[in-house]
Amino acid sequence: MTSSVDRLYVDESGDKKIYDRLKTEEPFFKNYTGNKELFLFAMAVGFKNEKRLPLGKRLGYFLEKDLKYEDYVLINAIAINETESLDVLANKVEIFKIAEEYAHGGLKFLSKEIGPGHYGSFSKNFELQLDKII
Amino acid sequence: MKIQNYRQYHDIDINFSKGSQTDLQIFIGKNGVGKTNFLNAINWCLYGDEPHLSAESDRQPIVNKQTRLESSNDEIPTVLVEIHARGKKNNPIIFKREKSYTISSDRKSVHEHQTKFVAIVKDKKNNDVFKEGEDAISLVKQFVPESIREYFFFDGERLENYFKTVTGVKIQQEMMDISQIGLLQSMSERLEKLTKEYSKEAGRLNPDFDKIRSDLDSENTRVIQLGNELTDLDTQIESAKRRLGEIEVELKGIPDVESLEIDRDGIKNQITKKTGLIEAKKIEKNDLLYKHGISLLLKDPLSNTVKIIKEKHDNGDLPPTDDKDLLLSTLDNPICKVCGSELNDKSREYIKNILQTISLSSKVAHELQSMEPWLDRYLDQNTNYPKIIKQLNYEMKLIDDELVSFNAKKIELDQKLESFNVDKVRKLQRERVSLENAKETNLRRQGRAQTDLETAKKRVEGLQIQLDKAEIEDDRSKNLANKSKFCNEAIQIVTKTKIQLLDKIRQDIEDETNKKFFELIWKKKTFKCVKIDPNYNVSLISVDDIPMLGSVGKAENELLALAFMLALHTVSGFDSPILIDTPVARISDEQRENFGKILIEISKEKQIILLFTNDEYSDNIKKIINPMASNRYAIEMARDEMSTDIKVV
Repeated sequence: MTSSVDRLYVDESGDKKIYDRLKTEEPFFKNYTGNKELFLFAMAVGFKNEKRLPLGKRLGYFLEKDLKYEDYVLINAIAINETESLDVLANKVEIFKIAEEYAHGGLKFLSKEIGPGHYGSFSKNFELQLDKII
Repeated sequence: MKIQNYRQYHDIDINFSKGSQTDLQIFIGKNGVGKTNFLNAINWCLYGDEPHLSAESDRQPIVNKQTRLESSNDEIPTVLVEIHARGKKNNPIIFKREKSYTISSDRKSVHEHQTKFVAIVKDKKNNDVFKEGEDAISLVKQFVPESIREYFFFDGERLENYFKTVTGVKIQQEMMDISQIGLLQSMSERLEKLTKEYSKEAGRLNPDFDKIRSDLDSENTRVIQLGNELTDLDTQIESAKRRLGEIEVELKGIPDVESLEIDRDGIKNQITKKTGLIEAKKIEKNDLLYKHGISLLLKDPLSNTVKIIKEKHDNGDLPPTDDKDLLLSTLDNPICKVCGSELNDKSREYIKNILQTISLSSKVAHELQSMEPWLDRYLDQNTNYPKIIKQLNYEMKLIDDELVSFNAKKIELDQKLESFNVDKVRKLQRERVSLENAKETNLRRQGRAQTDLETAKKRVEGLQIQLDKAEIEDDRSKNLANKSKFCNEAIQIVTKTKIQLLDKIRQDIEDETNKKFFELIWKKKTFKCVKIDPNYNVSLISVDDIPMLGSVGKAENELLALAFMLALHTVSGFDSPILIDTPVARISDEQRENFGKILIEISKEKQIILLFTNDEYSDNIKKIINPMASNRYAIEMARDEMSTDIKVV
């Protein structure tokens, strides 16, 4: 599958399964089962945990048109921070690539935090994590 | 007692000889051998029926099975029960009932022939005199009247429920029978009839007389009706009071279960509501964590971007004053985009210099400007997060605390309610409300009926005066008036006597029951007295003045029943024996000893026949009764199970 800037991609080898598990197994995401919402969350987690992983085979996950401007702001901020250059803002391919790789990394991180043994504890742990940030 | 061919008994002859100290006759037999049919045999002999017949016996012919099977076709076996007793002045009397039967050829059914019932007494010369028909029945009445036989021959199994099944009205009726108050009743009715006859005659002599008489009659009827209504109301009120007293004892210390259940339902609702609320708050918190979470996780890049934009502002790069893209395209195609002339070297150099001072492309600058308000919003969101999450957690804790408290209350109420038989308590509490309402209504009705009765009595008095006047006015009716007056006065005296007698008997029975009960009872400090109201409702009063019939133990209840029956025996003057089938079946082991002692005490003055099962005649009662029993008999079934024998032990 060829890459296109009309959509954002995930790693075909296993990301979708993890996203599906987030949707079905973790009550925290009960109201956020949209692909874009989960992707942005995974991206933020990946960035915070400095886990940027390149994608293998790419699988289109949602269309760019689903992004609202406030979503772009988040993606752009990561790209600026990552490249330490404002010029990246003129390179949508690069911006999306960075976002996708952080989401891929973040997802690996999240996959360890959910599942039957963690039921209901994700929310608590996440709150604690945020307490450390503020 | 002699029994022939009656049910299990093929041929039995028992001599109830009196012991040196007691007249205590003990029968012991397994269940099903025919103890209760011994009781039935007595009833059959005296009254011609078998009130204690089991379903199994009821299906069988009365003729003994062995007799039935062994009899030849032309033989007519006779069922016979004979009771040798002592009548008035200790004179011997024999009650004898016999009935002959024809057996079907298959030996399964029987055909009844005539019944013969005789009472045999001795004349002054000591000759046998055979009494039959009404004469024989009359002698039975002198021995144990049928209407009160259940106070002489009874089943211990039902003693416990004695006061539940024997109603006051029934006892009252039987007391009238025992004391022969019926005679006074007949006298009163006869006098009323005479009064009416005299009045009728007088009425023929005085035309106004009929009208006054008729008014007086109807007013008298009204007085009687109101009197009856008042008696009924009084009975109902007393019965309600008594039951309320019992309920009060049963509900002592028990809270209002219905209101507890309402409280528990309210708490359950609160728990459901608060659980719903906490779930909603959890969703709200997840929303908060999600939305603020992303911006908090990206706090650094967002802050950095804001910082960069600020620097661009400070450096004057933002907002952009020159279009970098336009200048670049002008250099590529050196025609001035404003005037259209070709650029010279100086102009080209000038544009290059300008380009060196411009760091942002228009696209980037535009993007940064667009991002600015959203970045501010995200950073504000991050700043506000601690306050919002703290408030939310606080609210959730409050709800959680309330939930904990409600759950604790619910558990407390559950435990409280579990400790009672809720259905029973609820039923009693509802019964109490209903009885209280009924009592109030009846008290109001009683008040009205009382007033109406007073008015009616005054009218009767007025009419009586008018009637007397009317009678006196006519010389010829004077004599009739005197007779009528005499009859009226006699009626009043008879009625008054009847009431006094009934009350005296009731009082005697109450005194005697108290005497017997406190002689017999081993727990002397628990009870204050036994009360018997005019309607013969028996109440056991505790030392705290609380009626406690519904809450006393089985032994005490049975003892009270026994005391009451002994009182009836004493007051009625009948010195007939008492027969109790399974006397201690309902009494716990530890009370049996006491009960045995009591029965021994009674047997010193009166013949007591006790029919025990083997289990019932336990070691602790055996050791008390054996040394004192006048006779002990074993009731045993033959191996072929066709007949039962009674042997002296």
